[in-house]
Amino acid sequence: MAILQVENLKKIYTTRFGGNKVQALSNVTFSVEKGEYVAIMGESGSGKTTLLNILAALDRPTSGKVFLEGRELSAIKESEMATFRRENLGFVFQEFNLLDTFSIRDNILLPLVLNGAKASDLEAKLLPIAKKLGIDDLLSKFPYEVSGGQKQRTAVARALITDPKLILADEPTGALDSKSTDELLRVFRQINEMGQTILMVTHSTKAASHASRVLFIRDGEVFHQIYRGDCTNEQLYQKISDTLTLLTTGGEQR
Amino acid sequence: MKIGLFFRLAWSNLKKNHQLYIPHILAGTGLVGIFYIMMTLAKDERIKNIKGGYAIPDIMMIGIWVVVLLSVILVFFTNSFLMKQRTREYGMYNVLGMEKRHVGRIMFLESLISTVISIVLGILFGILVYKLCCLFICKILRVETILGFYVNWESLWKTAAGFGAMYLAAFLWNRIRLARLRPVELLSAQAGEKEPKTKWILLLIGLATLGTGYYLALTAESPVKAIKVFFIAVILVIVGTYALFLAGSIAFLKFLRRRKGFYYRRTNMIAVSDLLYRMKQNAVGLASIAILATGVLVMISTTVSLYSGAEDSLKHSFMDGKADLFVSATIHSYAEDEKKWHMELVPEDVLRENTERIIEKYGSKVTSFHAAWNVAESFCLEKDGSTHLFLPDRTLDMPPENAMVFLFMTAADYQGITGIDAQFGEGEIGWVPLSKNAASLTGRVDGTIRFGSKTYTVKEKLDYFPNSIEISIIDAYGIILPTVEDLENVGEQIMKETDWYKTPISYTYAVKIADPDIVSKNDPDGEIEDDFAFAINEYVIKTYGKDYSNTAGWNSIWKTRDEMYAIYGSLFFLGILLSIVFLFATALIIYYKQISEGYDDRHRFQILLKVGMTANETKATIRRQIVIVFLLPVITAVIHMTVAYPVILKLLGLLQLYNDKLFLLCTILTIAAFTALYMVIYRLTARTYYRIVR
Repeated sequence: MAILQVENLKKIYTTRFGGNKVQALSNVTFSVEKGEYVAIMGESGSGKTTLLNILAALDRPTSGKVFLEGRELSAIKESEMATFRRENLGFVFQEFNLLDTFSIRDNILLPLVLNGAKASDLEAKLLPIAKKLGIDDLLSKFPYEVSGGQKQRTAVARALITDPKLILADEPTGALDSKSTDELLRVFRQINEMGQTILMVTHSTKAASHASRVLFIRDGEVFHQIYRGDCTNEQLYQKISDTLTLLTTGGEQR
Repeated sequence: MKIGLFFRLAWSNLKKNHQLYIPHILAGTGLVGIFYIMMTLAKDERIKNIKGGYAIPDIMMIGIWVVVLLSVILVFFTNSFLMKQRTREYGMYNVLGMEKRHVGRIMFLESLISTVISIVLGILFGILVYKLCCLFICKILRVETILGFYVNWESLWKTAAGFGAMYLAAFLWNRIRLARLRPVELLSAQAGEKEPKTKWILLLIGLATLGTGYYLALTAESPVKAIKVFFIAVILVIVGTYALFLAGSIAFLKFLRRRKGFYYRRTNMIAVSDLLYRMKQNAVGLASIAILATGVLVMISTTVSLYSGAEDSLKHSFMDGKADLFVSATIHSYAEDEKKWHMELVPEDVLRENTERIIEKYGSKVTSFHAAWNVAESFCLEKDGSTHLFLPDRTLDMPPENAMVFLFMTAADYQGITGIDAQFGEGEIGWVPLSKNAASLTGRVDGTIRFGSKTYTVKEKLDYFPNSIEISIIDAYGIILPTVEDLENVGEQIMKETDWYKTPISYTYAVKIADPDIVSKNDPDGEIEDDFAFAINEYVIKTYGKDYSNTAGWNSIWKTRDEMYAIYGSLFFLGILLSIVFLFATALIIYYKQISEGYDDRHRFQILLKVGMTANETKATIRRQIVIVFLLPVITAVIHMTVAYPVILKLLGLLQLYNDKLFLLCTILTIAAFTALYMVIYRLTARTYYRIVR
């Protein structure tokens, strides 16, 4: 069963002055199965950030529908939205978005606390995740004391701690060096193998080559998609970069 | 041409940063204005010459130093804030190819422009408001209004030069800092801030100083002690407030954070850890606000109480309206053969005739003249189980703490004046506590008291004594003796102990006048006392043929009233001016705090939104923190004021203000008014804050 279904998504922005209309998404349809690891690629301005914002329920589509486990996002009341997002979605951002007033531990625990979890249950949930991500000995440190890779793994831990149905990652490797990128991608792979559904928006061919499926967006539409099949990461990398070449040189949809 | 370019750049920088510079200039304007007003009041001959205006210049000069001190602190505070906010901008100029001397030139022009605007507006404001101040002073001194426009050139240029120098110093400070900065540092963004550490030593110092300060204030039993400890306590409390805001707040929040059950709750988690950082950045500012607020509360509540309690004190001093004037006269003659000074009394009829004649000369009539009391005045020390009387050394400011002051009068006199029947048996005395917090006399002397050869039983406590005693810093008691013989016995005893006077008993006469206001009006220069002294002197020469020294006591309600209004009115006015300056300071600190926090919170606000809080929840969390941070100084000030209340009440007692209800009312009203004003400042500045966060 598809965990995420996106049907005919359309988003038109009206600029504040002059009333010019900008079409960010014209018609996007796709679905993500439970346990899938999907990467969405596209150039700047292709509409991928808009898409992610709509999937994250931070923005509403002009038309079209998004279903998360069969529940339509736009049918959820504004007042319940924050709770819904907290309980069902996990986020990883390019800029980590850690609170510098919180220790690593508290940053990870924040969503649980916001959900009203009992103080006595927190540690039991935190430790396995922290161990898995290799940050268990950093828990008492503060964000400014740890490296970028460690910050991003903290953000991943924060996203995982509520057992979300779907993890949305927005350029998660964008601010990392190559070593940290490798580490993070390994972490994503690992959690995906344990059954976590991941949807990642990225520029990076390398990041996308770790996914089980890659969607390409151009001019507000899904232009193409590649399934991993039996490909190794390197083979997938090659396929992706061929597709990107095609995309930028203006080839037609196959 | 080039200067024109720099000038345009500087001007557009000021406009671009108006959010920072308008409050800076406004505060400067206010300080300059108030400084000019105080300088001018200290110099204005017209003010000095109005009735009761003589106290204004001296009191203003005291206030000026407070304003100067506060201005220096504020100018450097706002300056360092502005510099911090604009460092990146200056760095950008540097990176874009301007040399530091060019950046320095822009900086100079910026501060020149803002300084000129502040000083010019400030002086204009000062000149305009000066007239208002004059009206207000005339009102509180209860004299006719002086009219006319007045500009004092001396205070004008002194104000301009003084503030010019202050701003110049601030600019030079910035220029030195600019010269030392590297461009990379100028541009570098703020790195993550370190978690504040608990400063245990500072915390202990804070607890110790505040505790000691409070202890001193709460345990000062007598006004003598209150004077001694008050300033020490003030300094201790100031040190303690700063230390506790700096260290105590952080220790407390960290304690909360360690309590998992409390900390890991949706409302507490964010609040506690954010407050931890807020306190680190703002502890000094908040502690300053707390101190300034306490200052405002103390100044306004005491000066208002003194001013509005003046009539009350007068009534207290003048036998609850039974007298408008007290007269007394004694002659000090030297007996060559005995080698001793004698004190003799001017007879009652001489006093009466002269008083009647003088009062008639000034347009009214004496309606009653009678002996108010015969008083033997004496200090008393408990020593070797006996009570020793001695005459006060008039210059003795600080008598020993186990001393008491006694005013003796006979039961007959007492009844004559007060109408209270105070007839005791042989060897029994009545007593009245004269100082506000005097301990029970019965308890102090174990029920009996010995004056020389005679022992008296302390019988009854009475409520009223027609005294006007000046020394009230030690416990004073009125003693009602059964008979005239007893009074003479006490007198003899005093003579024996002191070996000085022929008679220690003096008589004071209470005079009631038909229309004291007319007399006051007909005697604008206060010559009436001299008339009386002259008359007594004439009598002495006529009677003794020799110019013996004499004291002619003439204590009128109207002169006392004028003096009270002169002093308390000036103090009241100074209290208001200083409170305004303090409020300026408070508003400025709050405003800049809001701005700098706004930029920090904006980032936090957005992360919280992304992590899954609703906008309303986030706003509520932030608002809660701000309100806590804002209320903290006011609450601290109120606590300080509450602890200081009994001490201040004792000190007011020294100034003959015994109306504790009035003081309580003034204190409560001041707190209410201050809180209201504070909230207005908060609301105004909060708007800027929310604009930044959104």
